[in-house]
Amino acid sequence: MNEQEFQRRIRQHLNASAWNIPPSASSRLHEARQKALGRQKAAVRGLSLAGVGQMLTEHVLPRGKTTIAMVLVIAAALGSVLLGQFQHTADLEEVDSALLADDLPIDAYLDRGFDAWVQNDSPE
Amino acid sequence: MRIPPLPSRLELSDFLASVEKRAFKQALFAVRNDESALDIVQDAMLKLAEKYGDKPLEELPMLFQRILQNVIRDHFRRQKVRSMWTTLLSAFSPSSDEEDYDPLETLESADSEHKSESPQAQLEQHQTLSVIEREIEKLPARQREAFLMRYWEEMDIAETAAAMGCSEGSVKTHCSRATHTLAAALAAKGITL
Repeated sequence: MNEQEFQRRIRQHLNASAWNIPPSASSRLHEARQKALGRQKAAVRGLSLAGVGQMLTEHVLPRGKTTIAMVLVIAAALGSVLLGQFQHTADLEEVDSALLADDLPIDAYLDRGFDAWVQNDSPE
Repeated sequence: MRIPPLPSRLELSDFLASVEKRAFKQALFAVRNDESALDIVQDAMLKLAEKYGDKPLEELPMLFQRILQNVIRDHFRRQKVRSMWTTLLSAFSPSSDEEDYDPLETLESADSEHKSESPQAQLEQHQTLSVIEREIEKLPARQREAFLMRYWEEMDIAETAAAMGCSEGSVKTHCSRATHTLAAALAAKGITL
């Protein structure tokens, strides 16, 4: 008899033996199994998270598609207006900075004679 | 990438039901005590469900075997003050001084195939089984673990090595030695399978 055949026959004997365990042991094993199943915590937690995801995907998202689209359009419009305002403020700040940093007094720009002098004095 | 589905309660229940009897016998070979073996299997089941209940179904056999062997080792650590090798309280162990006592006579046969056999054939089979079980009990622990996982649980070499926490080469060596020891022991008793 080769090794494989020997191992196969040993397995057959052991299987027969396993099916013949005392009823009291079978009963204890059944109880132990039920207790273990009651503590399958990790799997239960995983399923609950999966359930939340499934609920969002299947129930909330399809009904809220129109609402979500409207909210996105309004947000885009508001963003555009706010961006324009920021740009205008930045331009004014730039002009103010240039005026304040200049050597020429601000009153010079209000004097009509100064303006005429600049035009006449500039090279052709 | 698709995440493997978690084992449902029913799938885990089916898996445990499919391995619990063999696990009990494995523990019994190691500790030779019904109550201790049942406690060990219960501990292993609880640990599998609590810690690995979210693992894919195909990983459960290897994980369960690893847990079972660890729980058996823990049992021996706790009980090392006792001499486990002289404690024979198992239902499969003789409770009287009769040398030819057959422990399986006390068990209810659930196998209809065996019921149809003659009493003489049943007796021979029970005696053969009794000798096989005793010889398996006598094997060194690592050889017994490797042998039972490979040839009873039908795990491959890689799975057995992972469950035992050793190399594949060690698994092959343990299995080969166990097979030869068992074959020699049965031959010495005049038993042919």
